[in-house]
Amino acid sequence: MAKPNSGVTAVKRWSWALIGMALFLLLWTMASLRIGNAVLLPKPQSVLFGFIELLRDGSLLSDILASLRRVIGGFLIASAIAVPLALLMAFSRPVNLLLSPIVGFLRPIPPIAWIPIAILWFGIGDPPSYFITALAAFFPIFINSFAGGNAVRPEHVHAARSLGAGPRALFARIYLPSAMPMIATGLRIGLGQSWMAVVTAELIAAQSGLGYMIQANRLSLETSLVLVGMCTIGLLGALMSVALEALERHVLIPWNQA
Amino acid sequence: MALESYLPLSLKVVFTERSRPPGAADVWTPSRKPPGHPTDQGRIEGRGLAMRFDTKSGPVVALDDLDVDIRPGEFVALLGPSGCGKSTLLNLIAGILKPSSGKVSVDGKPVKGPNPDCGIVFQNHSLFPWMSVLENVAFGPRMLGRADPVGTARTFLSLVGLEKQALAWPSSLSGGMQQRVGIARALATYPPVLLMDEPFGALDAQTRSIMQEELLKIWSQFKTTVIFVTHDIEEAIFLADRVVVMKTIPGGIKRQVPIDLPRPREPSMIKSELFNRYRGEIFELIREETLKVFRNSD
Repeated sequence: MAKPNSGVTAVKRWSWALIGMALFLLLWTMASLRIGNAVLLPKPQSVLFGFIELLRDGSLLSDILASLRRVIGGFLIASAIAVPLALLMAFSRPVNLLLSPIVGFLRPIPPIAWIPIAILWFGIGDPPSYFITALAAFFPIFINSFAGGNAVRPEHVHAARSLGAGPRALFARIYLPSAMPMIATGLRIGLGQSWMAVVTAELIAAQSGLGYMIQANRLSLETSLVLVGMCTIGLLGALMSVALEALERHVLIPWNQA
Repeated sequence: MALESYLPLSLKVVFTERSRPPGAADVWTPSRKPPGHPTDQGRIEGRGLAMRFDTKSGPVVALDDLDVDIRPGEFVALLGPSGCGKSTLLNLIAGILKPSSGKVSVDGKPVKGPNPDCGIVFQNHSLFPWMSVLENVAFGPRMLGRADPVGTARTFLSLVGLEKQALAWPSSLSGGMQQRVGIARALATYPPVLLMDEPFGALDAQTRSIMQEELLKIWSQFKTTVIFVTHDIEEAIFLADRVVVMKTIPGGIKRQVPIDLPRPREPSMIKSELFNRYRGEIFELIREETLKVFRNSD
């Protein structure tokens, strides 16, 4: 609910955020002056120039698109498998008993540990990257969707049945929306994990993308371009998180605004 | 349609105007009965009802060999201290619980699970938070394939005075408003029986007494059978034709008190001598039961 002074607090929040960013840049500049070695830590403005340069020659955009494609592809694959599977597991006791140990065993393996086997299976390039991003997104989405599937209130089920709902309507109109807040949380975490994983995958198993670009520029000691890659990753990650939050608020769970 | 006769005349005008889709003129034929006339629907019969739960400290008998007879259009209050099985009995009639033994039927049909013969109003949190207020009320008519569910929902929302909140999310409404939506939702399918499980239990005293009057007004129009669970003695006397005082250990009926206060009931009746006599009598009955539980747990 909008508070009467929410306009004022928004201005305040943005001012503080800008001050924080300025402080960060100031510390960075001071540190780079103190170190005095552009290979170890370039100044913020040389990163900015690098950014403009890579934008001009178009290579940054193609790297961004390569990474984004892998993240979104992997994320969609993971969502398409994890959400239905988790709901099935929540609603069916046999499926739950069958899958629980497998999930418990696979979940602690970090995505990065899958990279060698992903290269063996899929070679170098897009396929192993899709595999890794999907894997990274899968478990957060799965675990949260499963919790969501268990979150349905018995009153809602009883009320719906007393109003004439059959099994189909119960699933689509009661169970699914009951699970939706948790599913949305899972999607948000999953997307973040997937974004982190794509950089890792590209550092090792790809010939394009932001991770590959960082690695390539490290080898040629272009530290300012390494930092361009890192800053772009941070910026895009934050943007995706904001976009998904907006999607949640307006499409997935519009009723859930406290 | 027999369900039609639930509609009072004034409501029916609005209802037909708003809800009749083109070409569906035969759906809502005018009733020949006078408005609000009690129908022969909503008879509840329970025979030999027993309910046992297994707990860690052994089996608990919530209800023991109980017969229930409720006539169509009757307003029955189930009253008693917590643990007396009043909610259990309600849930058996609703089909939410299956009895350990015995049978329940509504109008001769055995109850096998929650079904549209019994509308249910819970204490709280039973509105679907992901649907607008209007969609909550339209849900039942929609599920039952009735004509113009949204028009029906609007009619019932105006019945409980919430037509302006139609497009709001339930979470933005006060507790009292949410319960009114819950009542509208339960009534929108024209159930022969309305089961209410402490529906006003979470409301403050002022809202509560207004809700009681509103409920009686609506009930006098629809004449559904109502079973109303409460632990508030005055609420039970004020609302009901018959107060069923429940007992504990084992759960069952202690005594039934027919309430001969005239209808329509007025808030001023709470001060009448007859009301006081009922209150005194029922207070003693419940005190005995509460003490029994109290001593038993020592």
